[in-house]
Amino acid sequence: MTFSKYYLQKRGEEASDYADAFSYEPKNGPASSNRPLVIAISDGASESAFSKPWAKMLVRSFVKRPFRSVDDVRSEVQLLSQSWHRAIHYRPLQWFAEEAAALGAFATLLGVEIFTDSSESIKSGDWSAIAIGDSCLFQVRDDQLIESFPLLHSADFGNSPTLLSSNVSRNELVWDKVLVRSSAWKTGDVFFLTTDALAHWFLFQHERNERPWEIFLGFNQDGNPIQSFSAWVKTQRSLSQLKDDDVTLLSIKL
Amino acid sequence: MSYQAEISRANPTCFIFLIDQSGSMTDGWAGDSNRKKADELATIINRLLQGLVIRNTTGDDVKDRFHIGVIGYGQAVNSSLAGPAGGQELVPLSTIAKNPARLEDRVKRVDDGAGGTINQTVRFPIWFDPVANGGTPMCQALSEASRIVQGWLSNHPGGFPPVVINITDGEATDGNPLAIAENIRQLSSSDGNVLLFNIHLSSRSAGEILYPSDDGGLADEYAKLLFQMSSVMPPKMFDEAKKGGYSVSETSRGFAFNANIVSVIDFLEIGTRPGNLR
Repeated sequence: MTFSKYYLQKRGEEASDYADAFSYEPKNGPASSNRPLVIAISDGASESAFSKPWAKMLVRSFVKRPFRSVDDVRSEVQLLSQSWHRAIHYRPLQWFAEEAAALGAFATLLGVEIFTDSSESIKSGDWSAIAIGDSCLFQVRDDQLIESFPLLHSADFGNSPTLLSSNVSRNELVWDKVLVRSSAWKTGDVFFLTTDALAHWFLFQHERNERPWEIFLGFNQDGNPIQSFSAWVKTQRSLSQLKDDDVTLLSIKL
Repeated sequence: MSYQAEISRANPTCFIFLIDQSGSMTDGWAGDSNRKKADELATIINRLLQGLVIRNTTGDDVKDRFHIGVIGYGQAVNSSLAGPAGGQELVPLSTIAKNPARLEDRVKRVDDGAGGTINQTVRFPIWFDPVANGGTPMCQALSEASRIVQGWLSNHPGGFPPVVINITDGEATDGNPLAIAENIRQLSSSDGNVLLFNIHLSSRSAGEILYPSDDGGLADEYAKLLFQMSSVMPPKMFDEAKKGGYSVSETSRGFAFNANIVSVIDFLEIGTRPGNLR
């Protein structure tokens, strides 16, 4: 198995402004144990305050104890919301930070568990995923896109997705929109987890009969994958092929 | 396609507010002699700035996706920002955020998280107090805005076009502002023409009118003139206004009569806006 992670902040911003988040366990990959590979990715909304710590809390929490149902998400978010408030309000805030914090932080969440059977030569298994918002999972097998979750078409992306909020009163609209999916994988499959800008690009290309996964897989083959990814993102942004947003790509080849 | 440029720190746009500080602003507003137009104007500009700041707050920081200019016109025409921002034509939004003239405690009813509401004291920023003195040199103020906008466009030729918001009781004393308004609307970046919106604060008790598409229902010649001066809302803003529940049409203009257009900020796309934050 190979696991690769790539990310880049918006144009003209500092690395510290990057407000996507991701986490995974075990850190050295599933080949070392029979534990499932657990991966989460989150996109903190650019129009909400303190969404970066909120996104981090969501992915870390998922990886520690994956939630598999709406009820799981609901009870976990209730607890996380309290942690978020403590993390924000430990010192006095300026008036605008206080007002914005009162509105709450907002973020997507895509959590994926890839299970392996316990046989010595792992050749297949199941996976399951849960999603809130527009961060996406793609599964590619034999040069075909076989799974796109939770969004299927590039036209499905909007500017105002329903997101998980640290302000629990804002989450009532969320529970109906929690999506879960499970299926199987086999050796040779590739999974990509991306936040919306790259996910939109990926589906848009695929709708034009391109093989966008070849571009994603190409970064790994470059002598300097990180640099290769960053250069590609910058080029696509300048060509207006890719929305200028924080970008994250997690790539898992089984 | 126009008005597609992303508004970001790397690619900012500017807002220029023109605020009428003439003597007639001491008159009553909307048929109520106890509420002065100058008070209403101060409330609108303070709320507009507050809304812009909060929408761009990412935590302890405010992102400088917007640069702000405020030109007062009355006894004189000049930049009306005070404090460290004073005297500057355009100021990054974070500087505005950190330098209100003062913070006032206000009681606000907020959600208690359990289905009810509670009173909470919030700090409300005040940048502008009511001012009413002298004539209404609106033409001069628009010319000043035009000059600042041209400077901005030469440095940001590909950005989202600047937005000029004029808040007035409408009675210019230095000529007919229509031609200057037309000139401002003709200025453009590669992303579209400069947008000029007007808010008319009238003494008349006529009801509020927001984003009209014709001047049929407008009460007087001043309102009709300000309507004529105003830009038609770009399609993207029109879509957002519609989503926000406003009654608008494709020919709606950025004009408000005795109403507040604080909502106009919400019609600009500046990033991912959570659907459940609306």
